Amino acid sequence: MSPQRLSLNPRSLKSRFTKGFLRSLRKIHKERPTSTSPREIFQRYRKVKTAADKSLASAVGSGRAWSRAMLCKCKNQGKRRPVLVRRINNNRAMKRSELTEKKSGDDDEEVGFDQASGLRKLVPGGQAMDLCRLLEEAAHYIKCLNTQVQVMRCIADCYTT
Amino acid sequence: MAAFSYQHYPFLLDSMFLQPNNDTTPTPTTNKNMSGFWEEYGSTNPSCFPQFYPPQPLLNGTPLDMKDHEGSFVDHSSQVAALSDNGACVTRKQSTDSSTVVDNKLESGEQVTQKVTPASKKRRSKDGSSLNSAQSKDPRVVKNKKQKKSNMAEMEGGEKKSKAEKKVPEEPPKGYIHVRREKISERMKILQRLVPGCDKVTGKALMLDEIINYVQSLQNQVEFLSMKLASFNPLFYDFGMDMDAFQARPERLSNLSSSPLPSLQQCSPIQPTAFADANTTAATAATATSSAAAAAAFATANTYPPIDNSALLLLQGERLDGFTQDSGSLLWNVEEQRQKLRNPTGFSNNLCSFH
Repeated sequence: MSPQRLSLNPRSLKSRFTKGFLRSLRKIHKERPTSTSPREIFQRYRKVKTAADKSLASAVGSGRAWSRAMLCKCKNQGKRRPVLVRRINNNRAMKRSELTEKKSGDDDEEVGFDQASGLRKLVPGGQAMDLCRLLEEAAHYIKCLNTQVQVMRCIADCYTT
Repeated sequence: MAAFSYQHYPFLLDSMFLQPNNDTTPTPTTNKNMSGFWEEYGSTNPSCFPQFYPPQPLLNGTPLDMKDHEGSFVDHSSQVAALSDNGACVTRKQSTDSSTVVDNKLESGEQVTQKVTPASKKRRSKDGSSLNSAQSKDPRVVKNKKQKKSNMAEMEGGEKKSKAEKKVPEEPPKGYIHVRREKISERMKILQRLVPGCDKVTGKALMLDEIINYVQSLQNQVEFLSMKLASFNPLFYDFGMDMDAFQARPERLSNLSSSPLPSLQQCSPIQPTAFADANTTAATAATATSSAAAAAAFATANTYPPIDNSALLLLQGERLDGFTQDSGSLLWNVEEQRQKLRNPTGFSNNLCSFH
C-alpha cells in the first residue's frame, strides 16, 4: 500500500477510527478474556467485524449515506430481536429499492445493469441510491475502506510480531 | 398511359404556335401547318376551350384550379393524340427546335420557378404554354410571382414547422441527460483515480467491474484482519488493561507542556490521541524497549524503511511541517515516550526543544 500523507490530527478520519476501534476492541476482549474455543473465536470475530464497521461509520459521521446505512445495520445487529427488525428493514429496503429502480433504470442501462446492481450490493445502503449518488458514495466508501484496512493491518501486524 | 406519353404535345404545339407571333427562328411551313391544325382543332372542339384556357383561374393561381386544369389538359392532350396522328408526327419532328424556343420563352417563368419542385415546374410550363399569344406575358409573370410567393411561404412555413418540431422535444431531455452523463463520468474519473489498475481499463462496464472487485477485496481484507485480531486473545487483554493506565498520562503531559510556550498550545490538543496511538504500541509489552520494537513493527507494516536514531533526529526537526508522514510521527511519539520513560522530568523541556 502506498504511504499516505496522514496527520495525527485528532479530527482526521484515521485517528478517529483508530480511537474508536481500539476502544471497542478493548471492550470486546474485556468481556471474555480467556476463551480459545473456535466458537468463541468466531463470535469474537463477528464482534470485531461489527466494531470495525461501527467505528468506521461513526468516524465518518452521518453526513454520508453509506455510513448512515452501516450504523443502522450495526444497531440492528446488536439487538435482541434481530429477525423482526431485519424483516421490517427488508420490507423498507424492498420498497425503497423498488421505487429507486424505476428512477435509476435509465442510468443502469447506460452502464450495465449487472455492474450497477453489483456495486449496489457492496456499498452499504446502495439499494436506495441512483447511479450518480451510488458512484459518489462508492468513491468515499473506498477511501474509508482503505484507511480501515491500513489501520487494522497496522494493529494486527503490531501484535503478531 | 398514352395520355401521359403524349402529354407534352399540346405544350409543344402551343410553343410552336406562339413562335410566329414572337418572330422567332423556326421554319414557317411547319408552323403554318401546326397553326392550321390548331385552328382546326379549336374550331372542331370549341367546348374544350373554356376548360382548357380559363383565364381567371390561372391568374388566381390556386392549386385546385391547377389540378383541374391539368386534368382537362391531359384529357385534351389524349384527345389531341387520338384525333391527329399526323400532328403528333409533326410535333415530334419539331420537338428539337421548339424545345429551345420554349426554353427561351419560358425564361421568365423558369427564373421564378427554379426553386420549386419539378412537378410544379412542369405544371407551370404547361400553364404558360397553354396561355395563348393573345394573352400578354404580364399576367403570367404576375401569376408566377404570386405562385412563387405562395410556394416560398409554404416552403418557409414547412421549414419553420420542421425546425420547431425538432426543437421542442429535443431540448429539455437533452439538457437533463447531458448533465447526468457529465456527472456520472466525473464520478467515474474520481473512482478511476482511487482504484488501482483502473486506468488501463476503458469502458464504463469494465471500470465498474474493476471497482467492484476492488471493493470486494477490501471488504475481504477487513474480514480477514478482524479474524486475525479476534484470534489474539491474551495480548488484547493486556493491551486493554494497559490502555487505561496510559490514557491518564497524556492529559498530565499536555497540562505540563501547554504552559511554557504559546506555540505548544497549537500542538497540545494533538497530543492525546497521538499518545494514545503510541501508547497502544507501548502497551503490548511492559518495557520501553519492547515498545520501540512495536513501533518498528508499525513502521515496517507501513512499508517504510526502518529508521535509526539519526533519522529520528531529522524527523524531530521536520515535525513542525505538520506530521507529514505517518511512520515519522509515530516514531516521534515513540521517541518521546522513550525519553519520558527515561527521565520523566525532562520531557517537557524536550518538547520545548522540538518546537
